[in-house]
Amino acid sequence: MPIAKAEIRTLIPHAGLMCLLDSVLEWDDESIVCTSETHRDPANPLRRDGRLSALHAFEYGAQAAAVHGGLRTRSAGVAAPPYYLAALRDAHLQVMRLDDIDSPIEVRGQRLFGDGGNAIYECHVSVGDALLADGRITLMLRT
Amino acid sequence: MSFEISRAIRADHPSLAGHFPGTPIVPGVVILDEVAEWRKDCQLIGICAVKFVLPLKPEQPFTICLTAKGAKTEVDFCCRVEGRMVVEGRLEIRCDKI
Repeated sequence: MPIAKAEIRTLIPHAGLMCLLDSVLEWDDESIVCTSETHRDPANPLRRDGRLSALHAFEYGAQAAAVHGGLRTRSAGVAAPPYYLAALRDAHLQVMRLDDIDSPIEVRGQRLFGDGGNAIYECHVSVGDALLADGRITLMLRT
Repeated sequence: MSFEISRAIRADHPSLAGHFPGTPIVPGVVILDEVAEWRKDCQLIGICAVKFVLPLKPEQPFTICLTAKGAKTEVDFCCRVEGRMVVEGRLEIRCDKI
């Protein structure tokens, strides 16, 4: 049963249009798969001069990782702490922009390291079989 | 080659209302978008590494310092607020004409 946007909003502090993911398709303790169509939304708050640069794929990835952290802590019976994007490594962009992609994008996060506090996720943003961007994202607790 | 530019993200940037309500912090990707704007004829193809050291607040003036590496496909950058490092990293770019 997918997790819808209203529930995603309870898992991360991102509000309004900055809550970029539409739903969580599946997740387990190690990984999460999300989907979104907000990359096509003319009101996407990360657009600049009408275009959504592909580098914003990493904000989608970071939000997927943060949602995963929220789901894991909730299943452990504690409140989700606020995370922030602390680092990005070995990141690659296969396209220049996301707003011209007609289909929903898929955002995958694989937890490589971390428990509770800091965490590192391998993130992949793709459409169909085509990879759009990938990279390693470090999330840290906001203090 | 190295140069420096000054920037600030305005308080009415559309990302800030939801990032986060009551405590606006400039999203890291918005800072990277400013850095990547430096040359329109170059395409950002990768981010070797970037560290977000300190939060950047709306309207806070910051400088972007860019240093192209020898091969001209890698660019080191850092962003500072009043001399304090807020973001540093290395981008990978591809330029059609250099």
